[in-house]
Amino acid sequence: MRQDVNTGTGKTLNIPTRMFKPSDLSDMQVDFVEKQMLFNKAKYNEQFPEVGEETSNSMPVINYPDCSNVQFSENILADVVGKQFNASGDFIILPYFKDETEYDIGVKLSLAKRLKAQTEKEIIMEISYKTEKTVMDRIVSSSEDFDCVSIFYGVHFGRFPSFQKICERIVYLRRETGKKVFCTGVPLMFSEDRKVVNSVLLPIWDLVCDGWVKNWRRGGGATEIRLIDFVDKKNKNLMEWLKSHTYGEEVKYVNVSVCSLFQDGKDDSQRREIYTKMLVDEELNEVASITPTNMEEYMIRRCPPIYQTLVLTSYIEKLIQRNTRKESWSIYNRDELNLLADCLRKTFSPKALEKEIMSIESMVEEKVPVEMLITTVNKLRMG
Amino acid sequence: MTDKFIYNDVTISNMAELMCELKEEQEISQICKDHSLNMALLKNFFVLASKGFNNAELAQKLGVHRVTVQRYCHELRNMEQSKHEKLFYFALRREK
Repeated sequence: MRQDVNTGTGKTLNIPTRMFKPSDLSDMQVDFVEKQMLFNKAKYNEQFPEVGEETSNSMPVINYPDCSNVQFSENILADVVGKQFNASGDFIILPYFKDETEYDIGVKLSLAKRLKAQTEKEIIMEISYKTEKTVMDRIVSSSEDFDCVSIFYGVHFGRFPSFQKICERIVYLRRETGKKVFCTGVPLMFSEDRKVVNSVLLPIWDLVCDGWVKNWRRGGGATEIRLIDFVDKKNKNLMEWLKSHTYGEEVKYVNVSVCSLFQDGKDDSQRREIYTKMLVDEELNEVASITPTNMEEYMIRRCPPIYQTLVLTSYIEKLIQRNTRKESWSIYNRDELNLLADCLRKTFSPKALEKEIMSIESMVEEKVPVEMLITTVNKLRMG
Repeated sequence: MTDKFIYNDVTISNMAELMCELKEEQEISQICKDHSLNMALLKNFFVLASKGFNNAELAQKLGVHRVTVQRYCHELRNMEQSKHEKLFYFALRREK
């Protein structure tokens, strides 16, 4: 379900996109990643790091002023927006401020309106994952003044209640505005159930939003050595590893035994780091290659049950919006499309939904009335 | 004689062909699983590698760690010739 879109500045972006920090690129030993975003972060009172010409030609750049630790002030907002306006990025973000209020968001919205008329760069409106419904409605009603929405998560370990909040906001904003929705500061590790004891690698952000960047703050130091098991992707200590592996079993990517991977030497910690990077890379590749056809299989195999409904709902909304907001569907008015989208939402399987959309696609080209499309979808569902 | 549809796009005449394709797909996914390779990534890997891109360029185009590209090269080099060929032709056929 990947697609190329053009940014306001004419660069191509392949969404869903991972936003790479310069440190991610140097970790990966590459200068750039084609059609993905560069997340060039700086503290709100510092200059943005220089971006090489080759990198900025190949990647859309977002210069991100990190204001998540600072209280809102109009001066700081004007300063960080001014810096982005003059820098050579492809987006202007109105960043999330610590504990921002409805008034603060109102100021950001009115600034977005003024900016929209002055620049071809895409305007991103950033809010917190805790933003209230009334404020969200205000953002929706001003959605003509910005091009994308970003939701700031800012945790290094995901739990069900907060993940539920962010998914609700992603779905709501996508449904009401049809804009691209990004998530910033997201975790890759989640608690497996409602307790925090067990954690699992779950980088499902490509499935729920259009772009994401991993949280840049580090978590607290662990008291014991824990590593993600390459079989079930759960984070385990040595004793837990030995329940499903033997002591001398060779671990893939690093080709050393389980026993030596858990030793406390300097080389061993480097090996663990390489192992984790390789494992995360592989998992991200797997998620990036998911299509509506194999989505459910992945969910059952890898996603803990409590997250499955949230991820599936977000993915289905993404599928619906991506299709109903296509140029070829614009022959129908908004109300008609909403009716059709409501009908499509009753299908809870991405594979079945894709089939339904494909079956009405040719009818859309023939400009068949929306009632007929709904009847066709219903007939298909009844088998 | 007109062809009979059995299910969706399956007809009597193309059923054997579809079953062969399905068997081949299962075989390929088993090879990928044995060698920890991602089928979708591998397809793009072959397509780009056959165009002559080096490891660094492959990593930049595929959006993966350069070490991942090295691992894929290593796995493919150490794989049985027959398996390697199967993967290669399967990937390129899919691309077409």
